[in-house]
Amino acid sequence: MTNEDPLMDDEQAGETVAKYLEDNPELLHGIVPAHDLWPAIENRISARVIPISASTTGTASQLRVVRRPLGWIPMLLAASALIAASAGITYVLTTHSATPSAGPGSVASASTATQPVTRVIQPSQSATDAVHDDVPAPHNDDAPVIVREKRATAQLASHPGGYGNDEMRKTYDSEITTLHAALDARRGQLNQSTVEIIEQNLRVIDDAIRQSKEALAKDPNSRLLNDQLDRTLAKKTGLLRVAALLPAA
Amino acid sequence: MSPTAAEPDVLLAVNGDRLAFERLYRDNINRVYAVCVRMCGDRSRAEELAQDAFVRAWERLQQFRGDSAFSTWLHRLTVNVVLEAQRSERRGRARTESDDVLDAAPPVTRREHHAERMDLAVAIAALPPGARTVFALHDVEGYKHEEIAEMLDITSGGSKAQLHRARRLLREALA
Repeated sequence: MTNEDPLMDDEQAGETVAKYLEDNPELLHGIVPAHDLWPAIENRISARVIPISASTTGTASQLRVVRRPLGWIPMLLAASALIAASAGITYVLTTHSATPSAGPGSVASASTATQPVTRVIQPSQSATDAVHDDVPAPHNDDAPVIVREKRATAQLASHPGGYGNDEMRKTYDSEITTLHAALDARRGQLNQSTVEIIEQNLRVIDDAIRQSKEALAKDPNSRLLNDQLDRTLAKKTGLLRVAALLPAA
Repeated sequence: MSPTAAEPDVLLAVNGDRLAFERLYRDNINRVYAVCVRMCGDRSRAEELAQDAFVRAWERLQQFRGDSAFSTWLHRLTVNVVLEAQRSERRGRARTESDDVLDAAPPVTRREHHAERMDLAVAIAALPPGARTVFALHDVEGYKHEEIAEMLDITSGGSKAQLHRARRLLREALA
């Protein structure tokens, strides 16, 4: 084509393209992605960023607060992931169920000072009024089973208004002290390799608690950090509770 | 006008129903993806942009007032997502290049695509970015030069010039 008139050239080019499109409609209308994009999209819309200012109007389960990245946050998150991975099946994930007036839970055989939230039932005992924890600890048929009773009010301590609750943290400390004593008392009865794994996990958890407290000292009103600390304390309590209830070797 | 019973999934999605939004995704993904491919010329990049478009649609569903069909609203949103991405990429390149922003990509390798039955999608992908975008918006998506000029922040004459160039290069590639 040697046409020098740009308008004519354009017109002819348009006709050529239009004809080609007409002859091959599948070229423009048959373009489809190589794979389903929905899973990635769903992941992204599930992790929407909510402004800090909006976080005071929702519940903790509805909101995921994302703050400016700071050096210690990735470290905390990494520590949290490490806790989850290293603890593995050696402990039961129990959400803390504390209120200022009732401790985060106690072991029936170890403490009667507070109203127990967690109790121990034997395999033969009915558990229709209780729910098992999300991840049951390994046990044999003769071992006691840990169950967590439904107590709606127990979760309120972790909701807005409950963060930084000194009374709740003191209850955790008291509970942890009690459970440590129970574990120490039974140490000689337990499988030593199991005890070592538990203690290793406890060190990781303690390190995470220490980091959380250090970060909270700089940013005491951080919802993320308070929530992180509460969860870590709950994990430590849960691990100690399971350890204290392990069957004798 | 608001999202009506004619598009119940839109109404459900506006109220946070993710399953309804997934149905909207299934109904519209091919067109959204095709727009992205035509405008950016890269299928892998187009997948990312299509994802961005649906994520933004989810975030902005509250702004959809039903003045047009959901598919039309989503289409326009997708075009904007791609254009914003292209602007962002051009800004990144502008630090090291001083060419016309619409022609910042490598020149079209027209003679390399002289297959007898050239795949038009490949030919479009080989166009310079500016010409490709204008061609896709005008000849494929049906936008007017005035609308394209506004979207791309260029003049209407510039849009016509880019379209002319795109058509000429495509004709040569398809010859």
